[in-house]
Amino acid sequence: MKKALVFLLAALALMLGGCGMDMQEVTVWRAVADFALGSGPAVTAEVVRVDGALGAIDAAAEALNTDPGDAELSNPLPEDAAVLGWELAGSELRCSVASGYAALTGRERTTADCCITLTFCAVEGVESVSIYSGGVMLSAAMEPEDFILADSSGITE
Amino acid sequence: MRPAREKQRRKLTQSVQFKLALAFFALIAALLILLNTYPVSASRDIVFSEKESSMLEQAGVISASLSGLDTLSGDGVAQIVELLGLTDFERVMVTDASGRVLYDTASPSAEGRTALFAELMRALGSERVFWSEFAGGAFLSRAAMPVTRGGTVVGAVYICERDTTQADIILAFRDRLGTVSAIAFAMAFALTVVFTRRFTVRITRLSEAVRTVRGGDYAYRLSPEGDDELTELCRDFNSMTETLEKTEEQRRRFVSDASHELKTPLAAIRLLADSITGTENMDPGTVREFVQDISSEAERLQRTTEKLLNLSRRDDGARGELTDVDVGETAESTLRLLEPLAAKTGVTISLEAGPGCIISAPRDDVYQIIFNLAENAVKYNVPGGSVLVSVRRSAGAVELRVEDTGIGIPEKDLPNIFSRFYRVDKARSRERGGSGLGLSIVHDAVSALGGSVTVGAREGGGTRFTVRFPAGKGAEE
Repeated sequence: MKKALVFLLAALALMLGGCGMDMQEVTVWRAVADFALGSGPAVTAEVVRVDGALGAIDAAAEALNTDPGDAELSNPLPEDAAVLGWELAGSELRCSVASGYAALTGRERTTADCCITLTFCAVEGVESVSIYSGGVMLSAAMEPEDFILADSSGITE
Repeated sequence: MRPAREKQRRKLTQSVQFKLALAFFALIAALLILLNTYPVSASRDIVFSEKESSMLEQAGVISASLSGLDTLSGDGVAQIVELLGLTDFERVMVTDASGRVLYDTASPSAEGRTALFAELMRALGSERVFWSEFAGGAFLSRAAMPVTRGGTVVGAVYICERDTTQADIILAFRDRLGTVSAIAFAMAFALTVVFTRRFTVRITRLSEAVRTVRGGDYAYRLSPEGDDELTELCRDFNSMTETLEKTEEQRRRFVSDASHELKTPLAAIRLLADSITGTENMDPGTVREFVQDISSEAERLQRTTEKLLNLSRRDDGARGELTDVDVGETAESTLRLLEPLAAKTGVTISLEAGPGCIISAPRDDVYQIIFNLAENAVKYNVPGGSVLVSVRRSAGAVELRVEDTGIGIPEKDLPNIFSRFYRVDKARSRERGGSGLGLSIVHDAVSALGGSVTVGAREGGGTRFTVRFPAGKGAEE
């Protein structure tokens, strides 16, 4: 009986999805997987589809918590470091993350900071992002200009 | 107009010259592509390899130098890098363990920002990284290496170099190769066209010659040029047409001779028959004489046609069953048949036969050889003359000799004695019932058995025929 109910609900969800539930596309930044790192930026943008009813910042937060669709990309936020919420103070977005974020160090932390900053700063009205966990600031306000993604030295047009 | 053009195009693509030229072009093109790509590719790989070792070595020097610092700071890093005098690089960047830029030669404003280059990230993961590409007329190479202290990664060094000097050398080499290849291709094209044309012209000439000969001109000959397989083919063609010409000549002569041989007795028969029917009250004795003559001519016709049939069968390759035949015994029985004729012409026949003269041959053929030779020896002998037939073993062969004391054969006639319808003395031969085919049959039969027959003058007058047969398995040495 229970199985039948689950099956019915799943079918209903599929039907609702097929009936044209509104979705929106969000550009989210991901880390390039170690095996795919060659030359170029260590982070790259990916477009994901999320619930169209969400606001732009919620949609970006939702997108950050999803797994990448491309096998060569990885989510810089582990499960215990997911985005939990946000607060906008002027043009600065204070992003609240799970406690596991504090355990990130070195390049993992840098990559996560970069991906969160670039993803949220793509939303209109957000110019900087600071990261908090349990009310404690983990990263001070960061702007996209704080990150150098590619080296163009030596390249001539 | 259009179909004619299509025909011409089809002919061109189907020609041997086109196919040969195409094969050469394909070969030359493949070689030139290889010539133009492999050396450049190999040179590029050598430069990559050299860059990798040199840049990783220099990044290693910087990294080792920075490892000695208590703390990685912008000033400390700047002092060390400047002390090392690294001026050849487009960029030297040093970051801390999180990727924050401490020092950057390309953009001092980058200090304090965070670099997320793939090479740097991998170096921060304890990897030695090298990447290089050959593009835009330069080698662009990047190397990164971790800076460690006590086994912990405390930062990373990143260097970037743009080298146009070695790239220019390779590009100049490639351009020169391209020029040489273009000239080589043009020359090869011209040579291929000339060579294939020259080659196919000879084939065309040969083909035309075949058509000419097929049309009946057996006297047509090619002029062989050079000394290759085609020259040999031309010589073989000439030899073949020469044989054809001779065969055709022989065929014509044979038909002419055969017609003549058949016409003569037929004319005689008709004349005699006309005489009988056209003469009233002819006495019975004359009629009997004429009828006997008609019978004699008819018999001659029969002999001639039988011999022609015999020769024709031999020409077709017909052969009787091979059996062990004792030539001596066969000669003895054959000569017995000729005794009446010899007695009539006053000729003595004698036989000297050695033992074990056995050959492998159709029995009828051996009989015919001995009979024809011995019959001629009796027929063309002189009254009181003799014929000696001897058979003996001789060096792996069985030798049959037929000698007579007759009028002999003039030396000028000897080369033609075995030709069909050839007669030394035509009137005398016909008078004695000769058809001019007996010796031809002997020659063909002996050749078919792998033997040989020769003719020559006998000491003391007369003629000697010598036949050598390969000895059979049952022959005694």
